[in-house]
Amino acid sequence: MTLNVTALLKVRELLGWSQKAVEFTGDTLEQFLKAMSTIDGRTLHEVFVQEDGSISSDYLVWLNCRPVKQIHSLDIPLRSGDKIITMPAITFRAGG
Amino acid sequence: MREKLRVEKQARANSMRPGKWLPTTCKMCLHTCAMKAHVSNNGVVDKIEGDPTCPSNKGKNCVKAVTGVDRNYDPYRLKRPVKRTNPKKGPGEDPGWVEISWDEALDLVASKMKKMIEKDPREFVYAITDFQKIYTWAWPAIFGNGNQFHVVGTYCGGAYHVTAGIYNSAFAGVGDYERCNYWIQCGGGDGFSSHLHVAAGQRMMADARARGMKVVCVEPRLSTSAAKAEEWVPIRPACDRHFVLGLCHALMYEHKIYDAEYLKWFADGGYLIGDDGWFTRSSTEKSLPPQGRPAGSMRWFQQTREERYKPLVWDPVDKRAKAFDDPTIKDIALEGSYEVEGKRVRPAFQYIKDAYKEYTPEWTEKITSVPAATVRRIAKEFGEAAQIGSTITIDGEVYPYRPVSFNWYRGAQGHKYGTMDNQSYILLNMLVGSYNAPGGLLGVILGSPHMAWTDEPGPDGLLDPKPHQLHPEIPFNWPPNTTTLMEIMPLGVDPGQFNMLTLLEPEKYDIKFKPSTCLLYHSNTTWSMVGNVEKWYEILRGFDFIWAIDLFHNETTNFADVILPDQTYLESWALLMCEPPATEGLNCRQPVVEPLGECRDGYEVLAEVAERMGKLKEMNEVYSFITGLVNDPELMLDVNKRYTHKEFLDHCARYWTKTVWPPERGLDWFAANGHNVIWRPPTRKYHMSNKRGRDMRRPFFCEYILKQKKHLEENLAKVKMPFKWDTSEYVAFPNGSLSPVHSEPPEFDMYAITFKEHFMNFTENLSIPTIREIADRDPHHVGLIMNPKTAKAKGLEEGDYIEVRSQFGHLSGWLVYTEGIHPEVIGVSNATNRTVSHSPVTRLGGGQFNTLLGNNFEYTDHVTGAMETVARVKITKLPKPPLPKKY
Repeated sequence: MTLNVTALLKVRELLGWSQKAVEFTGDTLEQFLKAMSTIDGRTLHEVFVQEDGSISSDYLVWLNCRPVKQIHSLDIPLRSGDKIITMPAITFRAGG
Repeated sequence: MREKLRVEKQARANSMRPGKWLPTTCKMCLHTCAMKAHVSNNGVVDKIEGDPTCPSNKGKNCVKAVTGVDRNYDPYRLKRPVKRTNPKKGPGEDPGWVEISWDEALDLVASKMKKMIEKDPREFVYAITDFQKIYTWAWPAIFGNGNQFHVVGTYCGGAYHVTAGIYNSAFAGVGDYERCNYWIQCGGGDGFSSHLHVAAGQRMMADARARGMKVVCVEPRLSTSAAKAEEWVPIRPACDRHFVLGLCHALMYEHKIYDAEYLKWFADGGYLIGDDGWFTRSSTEKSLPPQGRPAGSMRWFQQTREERYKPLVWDPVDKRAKAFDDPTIKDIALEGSYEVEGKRVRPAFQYIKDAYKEYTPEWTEKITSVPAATVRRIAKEFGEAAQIGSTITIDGEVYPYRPVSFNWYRGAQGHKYGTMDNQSYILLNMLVGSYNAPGGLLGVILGSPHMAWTDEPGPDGLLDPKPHQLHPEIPFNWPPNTTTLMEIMPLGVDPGQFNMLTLLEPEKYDIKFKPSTCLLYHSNTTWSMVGNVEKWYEILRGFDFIWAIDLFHNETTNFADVILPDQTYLESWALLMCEPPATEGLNCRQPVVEPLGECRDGYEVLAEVAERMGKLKEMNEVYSFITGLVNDPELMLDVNKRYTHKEFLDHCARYWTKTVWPPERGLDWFAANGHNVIWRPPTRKYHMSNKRGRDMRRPFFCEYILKQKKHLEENLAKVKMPFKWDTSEYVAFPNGSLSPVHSEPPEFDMYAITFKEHFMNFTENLSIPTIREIADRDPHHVGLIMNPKTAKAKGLEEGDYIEVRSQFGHLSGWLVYTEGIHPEVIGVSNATNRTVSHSPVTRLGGGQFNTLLGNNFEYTDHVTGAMETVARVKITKLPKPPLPKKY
């Protein structure tokens, strides 16, 4: 399947690109994170996911404009055409 | 030729020179009135009028728009960058401003900023509050900073926007002017003087009154709304929730008026609640799992583990519990007590009703001072006017018709327990089924496709909550990286007032860094922050470097090291959403005249500073994200390009029209046409109200807030904090907790409140001569207002010079009598107490209201960070000082 992936800020630096259509052969978000290699030889899964299986508070992952939060599991199914945005978590604090 | 002569004749009649009309948008407050600016052939704007083609303000503007000309040509405007020469900072110190070149100013700012972020980007604090370039609020995110140094969120809508997001996936809410018949106005000025789109609201309110709508205004002061209402109900401050709980009790127990159909099928009023206070869930039936994304409107949603089992309702026909979406449900019980798997359960409605048994009108009277009989009567009138059971057909669609609205804003919920305040007002509207129904209270969405701020199905058949309307949730972290402690407020709205605590005593809050650099962008922070102002001065003196972008000097920029002159709204671009619910679309603001002096667009100033700091890529990414451009590869900003503001807005115009308001249009189209605003079609305005049993029920009982509490408590238990953080304010439905202002020492025997009118929106407008004159003609705005009976009992007379002192600070002013205020209250107009001004038009006074307020955890809503905006005070007569020159 093809996923539309956008990496912002520090995650862009980690991946070496900012926006790309990624061909993905897995099924879930967790598998996607494992499939994404960083330029320093790690995977996004290693960077983002903590020992207990939750996403680190240092990063945000958005799937089709919706945040995947720490409390949610990562066995979320992906479909061709899904949009994934990743970025560091501390970046957005504009208020209301 | 005839037309030319007519135009010239009209121009002369209006003291205008020949020229041309250009469509643009007002920016004298945060709303979006479409207007036309007349520009003479020699490039001077000499007339402003409303744009009659815009269905929102329909050619009408308020006085602020007209005074945009005064603002633009104000002789005291900053026209070149200035640098301070006096290192001593304080309200009595002359900064010794000298003009410098842009290059020198930007070099200085960029070098200080670069040095700071290389050391520790957390050392930056910012007050960016330009409401028409709201994306600039995210500028500090380019280097990972989130230290807001202002309270634009927490002061007005801190708890309001969060609860609107949770309960309605909306940013705000307002009554349906078009169809409402009975409107309770509480602590807000919709349709009269403030809150959402004033010029449009006033017209729509006037039309509604003409067709017979009744307005009941519940407020401590005879505000503009109250003065024009059919009925003013004076209420003791900071207990509006208690008034509403009394209405709920009367409707549930005495009048027995509630919309059972709504509570069963459009809300979770029938979901079973166990004695543990949580949904009772099926032990076998799972909700649609993430793996099986279903067809239809129900798209994928995230679930926590407990959400995987479906909440139950009680079917009184089959006499058993069923999953909430069981197709065999014949009816849903709202009342009674049942047993499921050996445990007692009650429908949410019954659960809440039981809890509200004690909130009788007599209980309400003791707390609010509103007579019990009045509470009963208003509850009955409101309930009967709701016409529960009636329907209305609009464009062939049949909707429930509930022509009543409880409408509120800042004054009703700017309190300790602000979250509960908002919950109570929503609950009342839900009780009579008017939430989102034609005639009722309608959600106001942001309208921008930034992220996904639209209503979507969430877990448990409920709406997916969207509490974070302007930025993503700040994940839990300790020690904190923000000076606002947002890490411990998963539903928070950046409580800038906490800077006083964390900057003055960092060790008490585990703050491991020392803020050194501050940006003030259209913000008079010391004026708007709560708490003793001397402490704010101390904090400002403690920064190594302060830079500002503004039109004028003010109390706070007086502490700056460099001020960069911005352009007025008549000189610069913006693209703005026209506020729903009545209308929708985009308004364009365009430069109609050349900027004066060397003034530059604030967006472009920030872009240049970012580039000089080596952060241009990050700025483009942040702005792409915050505007939604990130979702469109063709329109996402090129990270390496330095865009002008106009170019950036062209991307926004194309993306927003492409996705929300088609057809796709660029900024040039908007510059030529002004706006693409339309009346909101009923299918969008009432889109939630005729879908019985659909998968976006509203949470009459809000378990989501309990989940947030549980998750926060789990995180808090993992870390060692130097203070206790109270989580008891996270509740599924509001209760009668009382703000600490009601239990202060007895010598503080009066309540102090502040207020303003729409023409004073944004304090700096009071330095405009026309606005100053209007304020001075209103007795409520020339002194400290008090009921004469109270004043006489205290031995005070009109014209006395008095001190108003709270536990936290004090101010002084001239006593003015008015019958239009609750006898326990002293009113402090926003117009009375400026302390520093660039302009001789501004009347200086004896201190500001916010200094009276407590700035600590006790006076803060722990869920959102909203603060108590009522003070308890004592009044003392002072010797009369010499009268100010302009008095």
